[in-house]
Amino acid sequence: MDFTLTETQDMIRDTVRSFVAGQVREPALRWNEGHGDAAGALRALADMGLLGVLAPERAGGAELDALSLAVMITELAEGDAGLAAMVAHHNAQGLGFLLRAGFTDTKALRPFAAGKQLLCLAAAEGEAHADAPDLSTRATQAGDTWRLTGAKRLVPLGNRASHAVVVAATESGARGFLVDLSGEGVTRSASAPLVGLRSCDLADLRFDDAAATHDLGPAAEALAHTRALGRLCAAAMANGVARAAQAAGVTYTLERKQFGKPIARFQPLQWQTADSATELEAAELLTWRAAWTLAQGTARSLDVEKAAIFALETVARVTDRALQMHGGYGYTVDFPVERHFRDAATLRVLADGTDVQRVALARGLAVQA
Amino acid sequence: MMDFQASDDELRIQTLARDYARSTLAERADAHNRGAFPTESVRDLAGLGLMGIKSPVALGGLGGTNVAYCMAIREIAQVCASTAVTMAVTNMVGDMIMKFGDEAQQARWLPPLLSGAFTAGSFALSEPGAGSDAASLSAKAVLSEDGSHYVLDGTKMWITSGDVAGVVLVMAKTQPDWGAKGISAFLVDPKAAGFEVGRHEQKMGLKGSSTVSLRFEGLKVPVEDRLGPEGIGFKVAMTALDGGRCGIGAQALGIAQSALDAVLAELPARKGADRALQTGQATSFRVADMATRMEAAWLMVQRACALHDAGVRMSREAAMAKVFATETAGFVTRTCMTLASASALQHDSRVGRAYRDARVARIYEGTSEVQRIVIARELVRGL
Ligand SMILES: Cc1cc2nc3c(=O)[nH]c(=O)nc-3n(C[C@H](O)[C@H](O)[C@H](O)COP(=O)(O)OP(=O)(O)OC[C@H]3O[C@@H](n4cnc5c(N)ncnc54)[C@H](O)[C@@H]3O)c2cc1C
Repeated sequence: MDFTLTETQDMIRDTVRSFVAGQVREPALRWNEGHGDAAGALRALADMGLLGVLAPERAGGAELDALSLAVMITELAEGDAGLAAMVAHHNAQGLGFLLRAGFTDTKALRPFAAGKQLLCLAAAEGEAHADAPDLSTRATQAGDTWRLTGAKRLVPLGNRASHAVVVAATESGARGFLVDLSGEGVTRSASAPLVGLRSCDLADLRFDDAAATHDLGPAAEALAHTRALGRLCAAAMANGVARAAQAAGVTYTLERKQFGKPIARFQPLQWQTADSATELEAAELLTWRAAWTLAQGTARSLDVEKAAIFALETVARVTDRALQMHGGYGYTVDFPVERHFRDAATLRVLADGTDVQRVALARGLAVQA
Repeated sequence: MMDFQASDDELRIQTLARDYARSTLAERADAHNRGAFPTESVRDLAGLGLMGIKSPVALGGLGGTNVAYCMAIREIAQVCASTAVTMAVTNMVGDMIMKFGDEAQQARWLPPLLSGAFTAGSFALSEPGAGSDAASLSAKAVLSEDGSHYVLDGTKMWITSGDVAGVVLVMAKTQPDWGAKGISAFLVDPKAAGFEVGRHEQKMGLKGSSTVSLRFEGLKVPVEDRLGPEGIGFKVAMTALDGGRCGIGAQALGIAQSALDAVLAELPARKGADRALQTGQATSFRVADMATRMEAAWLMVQRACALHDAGVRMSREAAMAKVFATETAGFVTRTCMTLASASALQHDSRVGRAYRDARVARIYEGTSEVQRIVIARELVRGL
């Protein structure tokens, strides 16, 4: 057994960490309050080669594994969960689907793997997950082209992406299609702002007889894969947000004095810090193990569900405690912990909620038993 | 004899608040919570007598009990927490003037406060460096040589309605070296020279309630505007908070109720895989837990109020009610965020707003940690 990262993973972590310290942490406050956005940061990350993490080298990608992705996403989320969500979505959902669906057109892949163009996955429709039977977006074949009609809500990167992988129902089941979002029959509008993840581009997409540029084949297998990656990334993001909140809490309690001493000296706050640290560590270990399992490429395990359930609940507790440590100051946008608390409760829009995952986990365990 | 039935009078006040909340206030709540101070709504509340629920009818109040007060706060908070907190602080200031003021002070300040001539009342205890440790506050009031007035200097922080209030109850030191015993209470007229409103806090929630810092610079307060004798300011503040804490508990439960109601209302409309989960035990058991805890918390709030009405000291019970009710509201709103549909996670949805609004209840009028200190102090000797 070995709990250390590889040299490459170490390097990615350090690179992203210093990028976050220099170019994310400060402006994130503004991005989340609607002043400016993370476009520049996304471009910088593309230049660093971090928007094609899982893509093969022949397409210009970094060809790294899920653990590297998780490590990077955690670091980004420590600076800004919304930015991390967009980066995770492009890498693990958009590109993740294309790659798993066996898309081999290297020329078409290149701009995505280089991050020159962004790619989103429009699978879920509001409440119903894409594998639910009532997928209402439909695709019909007219000659050589597939045409799509339907709507998708809360699609990350939906406004910025040049293309979307759209999952639609056909007579022979759900299929994936690559769609040029600037094409005819596509309308996109920003989704109503959520409680958290305010810096994340989220869009509602509508397709009215929109033509697909590529048919990506039956969607089930690729969707299962992207769902696992999505849950992994949600866990990684949760850990990053939790880490940021915990660090903010510790710093604040050492600085703030009441009753003549730093409030870090009061036992209730010490307990909160200690519990958060322990839970956070457990969440990270579960997440890394899940990433490692995925990277092994072994048959689908239930490790991602365990990680995501635990990490999403941990981040809720950790951010809640850290906010409490800040007293009234934590309730204002001047302190990042206010945002971490809102982000924590919103992360579930990026993966399924923990209840859905519990059911998946229990079913999976029943099958194994 | 034990009696869990509210009196007719209490029910009447509850109905008054409920009817207003569910009609006019409900129509405006969304706008209030996008950042517009609820000026008209608080004026309406005053018109109904709800700005002085416990104050005498002759002065514009409703002559109600603490139980009635909490029932009303809960009704208003269920629709608009920002309006509820504005109302709660105004009531609290009026109650202190009733309890500690002389007849002249009552006659001067209460009618405008309760009738809505004043938009609100404010309570100014906290300072940038004195939150939980309120007794360490540093604003000071120095008596003039001729004994006619005090000169007030200092900075207050987090003052609810501080920019719109017609009267501000200010706690300041008249004896800087005496700690809590050196604090006195003053009724400050915001129109006086030297009264300055500082920045408006940008908060996570309670967007319709204004929270500002205040600066006093050589502000002259006539001696007749001191509330009670010198040195009882901390007692005034703690008395206010005992009653206030029940109100915050009621407010938190109103917010929690709104989140739970929103989740229950959308359940039948949900579809697909989601629906199985929504109608299954995973959800129904959570709903059962939320409702049970809310019921227990509400009983604690009402018990503390009933003791208060009976004239019994209830610091411990009020602290227990506050910490239990506000932590329950945290649990309920967080759980609702996990149960609600994705669209309910919108910033301005009922659930989204409740999640943001409820969070402050564990902080103001004494943090949860401070409540536990109060509770433990009374249970564990030698603390
Ligand atoms: C929206 C809003 C409205 C408000 N309105 C008003 C108002 O109208 N009037 C007014 O006077 N004030 C008001 N307040 C101030 C509020 O009462 C204070 O924020 C609160 O008392 C906590 O003080 P603090 O923020 O300085 O936190 P701190 O006291 O600095 O506390 C920070 C952390 O340390 C903990 N802590 C502190 N001391 C101890 C201890 N001895 N043992 C264990 N833990 C401890 C606290 O529990 C908290 O977790 C308002 C605040 C907010 C956010």
